[in-house]
Amino acid sequence: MRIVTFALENKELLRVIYTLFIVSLCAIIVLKTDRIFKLSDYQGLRYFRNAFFFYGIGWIILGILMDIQVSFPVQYSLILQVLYSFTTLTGSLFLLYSLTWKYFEKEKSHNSLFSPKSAVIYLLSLFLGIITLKRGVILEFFQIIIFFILLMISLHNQIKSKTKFTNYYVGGVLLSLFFWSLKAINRVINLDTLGDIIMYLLGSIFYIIFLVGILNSNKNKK
Amino acid sequence: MNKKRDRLTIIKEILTILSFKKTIKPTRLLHSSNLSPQMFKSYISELTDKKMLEINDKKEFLITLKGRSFLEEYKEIEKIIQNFGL
Repeated sequence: MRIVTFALENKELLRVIYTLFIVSLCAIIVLKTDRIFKLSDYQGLRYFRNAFFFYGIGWIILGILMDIQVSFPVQYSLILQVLYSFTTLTGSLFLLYSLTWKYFEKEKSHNSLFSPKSAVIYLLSLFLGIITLKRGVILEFFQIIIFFILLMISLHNQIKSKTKFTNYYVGGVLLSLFFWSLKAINRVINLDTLGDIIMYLLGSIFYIIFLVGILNSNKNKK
Repeated sequence: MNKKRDRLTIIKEILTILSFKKTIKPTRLLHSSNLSPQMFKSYISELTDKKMLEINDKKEFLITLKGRSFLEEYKEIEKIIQNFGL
């Protein structure tokens, strides 16, 4: 109960700290994989990094959105809402594509952010992002679908894989699925502050698991 | 029947062969790499563009510092790919 009271009294501060924390995690993931990506030029890693790049941008936009909603005209708020949905969906679609790219393309290097395949992801995310203006729950709905597919693929990878980390990957995806499900429920039934705290804890664990996976790979270097 | 090698594995194998020799003639490397001439040419072109491999005055191949870095980092690259199913 003390945590809930503290959270209620310091909501704004906690929101800023949380946003900065998640953005930092995304930045670290992208930066920590920079060296090995430049060496390997591996497509799956390219899309994986794109995912967390867009997630980071999404959280920055969300942070700005929450600040300006009160004091700025509605149009700016609407544009930022679309951008937030766009970046979040783009991040998730890139994460999904990082697991499935081998079925759609040969291993050829090209620009990370601008390519025909990326354009498809951007257009789809933009289209869905604009629809979210009409029905807010659309973002949560599509995130649930994307993460459900991610879960199926990562379960399949877990069976094939020799590394223990794939179990954590599955766990991370599952937590993210719960996060987006709770967000969807929150649209319908306003969850209380404790519900919010649980939701955001689940969300942060997802990023932490992915960062741990990157750092774990670094650990075995001589 | 041998499992089809992926791009990173082939690059690693070519660079490993190069790392054991100061220099190597193209035909020798072609035979050691187990690639078709066309594929071999494609990989050599990529490795040269990425400065992991260079060609000396005698038209022999030699590994660069960047190529050696790739070999050192290969385990890490492989681990990330396996961890995240990329």
